[in-house]
Amino acid sequence: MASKILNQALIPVFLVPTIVFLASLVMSPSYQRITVLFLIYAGLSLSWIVIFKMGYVSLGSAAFYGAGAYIFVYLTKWYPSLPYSLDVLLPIPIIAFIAIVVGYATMRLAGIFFIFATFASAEALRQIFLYSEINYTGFVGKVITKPLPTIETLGLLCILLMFAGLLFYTTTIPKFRIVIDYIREDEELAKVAGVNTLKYKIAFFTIASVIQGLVGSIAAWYLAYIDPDLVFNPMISIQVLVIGLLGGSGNILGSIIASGLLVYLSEQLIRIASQLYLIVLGISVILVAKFMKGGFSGFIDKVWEVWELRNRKTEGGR
Amino acid sequence: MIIGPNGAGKTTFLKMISGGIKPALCKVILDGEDVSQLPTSEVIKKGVVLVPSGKANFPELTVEENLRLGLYVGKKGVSRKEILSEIYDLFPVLKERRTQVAGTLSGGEQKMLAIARGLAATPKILLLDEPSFGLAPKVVESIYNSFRKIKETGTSIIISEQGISTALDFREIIDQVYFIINHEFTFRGKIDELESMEDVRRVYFGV
Ligand SMILES: Nc1ncnc2c1ncn2[C@@H]1O[C@H](COP(=O)(O)OP(=O)(O)OP(=O)(O)O)[C@@H](O)[C@H]1O
Ligand SMILES: [Mg+2]
Repeated sequence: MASKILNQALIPVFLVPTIVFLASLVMSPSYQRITVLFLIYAGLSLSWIVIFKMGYVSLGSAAFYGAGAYIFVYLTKWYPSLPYSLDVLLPIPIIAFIAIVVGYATMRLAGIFFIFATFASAEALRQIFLYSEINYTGFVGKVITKPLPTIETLGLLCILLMFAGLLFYTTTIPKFRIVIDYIREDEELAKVAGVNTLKYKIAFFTIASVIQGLVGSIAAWYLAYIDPDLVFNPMISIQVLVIGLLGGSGNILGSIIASGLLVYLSEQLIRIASQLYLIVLGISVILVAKFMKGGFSGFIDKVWEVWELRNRKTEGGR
Repeated sequence: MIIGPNGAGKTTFLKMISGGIKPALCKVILDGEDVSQLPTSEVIKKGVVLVPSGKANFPELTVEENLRLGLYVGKKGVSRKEILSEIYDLFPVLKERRTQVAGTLSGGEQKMLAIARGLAATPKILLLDEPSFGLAPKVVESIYNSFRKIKETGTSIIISEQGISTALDFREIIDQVYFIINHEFTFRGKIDELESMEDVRRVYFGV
């Protein structure tokens, strides 16, 4: 019974990224480019959801995304003899360290203060990098010489999406689910009950941030050009938040579908008028908040429940 | 048992010995070790568990999930199944309701669940803050009867109560009584002696 649940929940974690990857192989280059963007946002928002599940709304996704991008690019500059494949992994301990420090400082803050603190850290990084690039290198932006081909990018991002899915899956294992529910619902009581809440919060925050950072590293490798306004763009954090809310925290499919939808929509609408996308973004958030509390994943869970119920009925009727 | 009127410092004292409040001027010694600066999660692993008064369960989690958390935070290397079945033996009503969310339990059942969650962490010393508060006499009786059984398993219990009447009703299970008033313990001894003390008579009997 237990192994059945385990397997069932793990199927989409591996299956969905695999399907996306296989599908992308037969796409036209322009759709492959959109798929890269979609996978970037899926990875970012699935990690965001894990933080959200603990009751924390982060507006700092861009901080870790950008940090991952910059650390990767600096590594390729400072150690030209290292292969890029190593440069993309080396940011892991650095981002983990940053996340632990940031987590330790911000995860004691409640609600709105946490939102501001995460938003401020992304903005601070943007200003620091802008300032240092203008003053020390004389120009803004960094270029790497050998960009990652699209297919390899898609592959790496799909693997990373599996890791993000695994992290999400961890939060549904009874032990962690209960602890996370406790932390979100009543942290004071959780502490009295003996849960080392800070330890769990920082652990999940750090792993989620590392995944966001790795998304940034891979994105930088693919784009071959980064600048502070691009990778620390507050719009990234906002879109991740919107996708997260749209997707809901019930299962991994929610934010994956929401990422696909928003990325596709933004590609289509930006061609017409960039403001139109923002308007649609705003309206969809309002609609979801009003009519679909659990987001897409809540909707999927409900459909699934009804489907199972009907199955049971027909079995009983036989 | 610790007895003291409103605002005497009972809750503060229990929080202090369970790691919820860090004392500035004194130490909490457990088996010769200073545990006063440890976080609650560590103190629990050393065997001291507090069941707070008031809201003590997570209303949206089921009975069994609430108990599981007790198991997770407790000592390592114990058989969780065994503990759970012992707890269900002690509170059969919780077994009946184990898939029900805690928020829909009656007040008495909620209290039992809170105590059970404390027990799930396999404490050496179980601290209970005003376990009779807001409960009907019948329920208080069944809860105090469970204390008798818990004591038999070798777990020590420290209870705080505002009134003296519960202590008088269950005097046979109480080994030692402390009286606290204005943040200070003024008495330690047997319940019969406490009854005749002047302080106590003034507070509780108005003479
Ligand atoms: N040792 C102490 N020194 C100074 N202040 C104290 C001390 N102990 C408790 N207090 C203060 O006394 C007040 C009441 O304490 P506490 O909540 O522990 O009382 P209580 O006995 O639990 O009361 P109640 O029966 O109403 O729950 C609190 O403001 C607390 O900070
Ligand atoms: Mg009190």
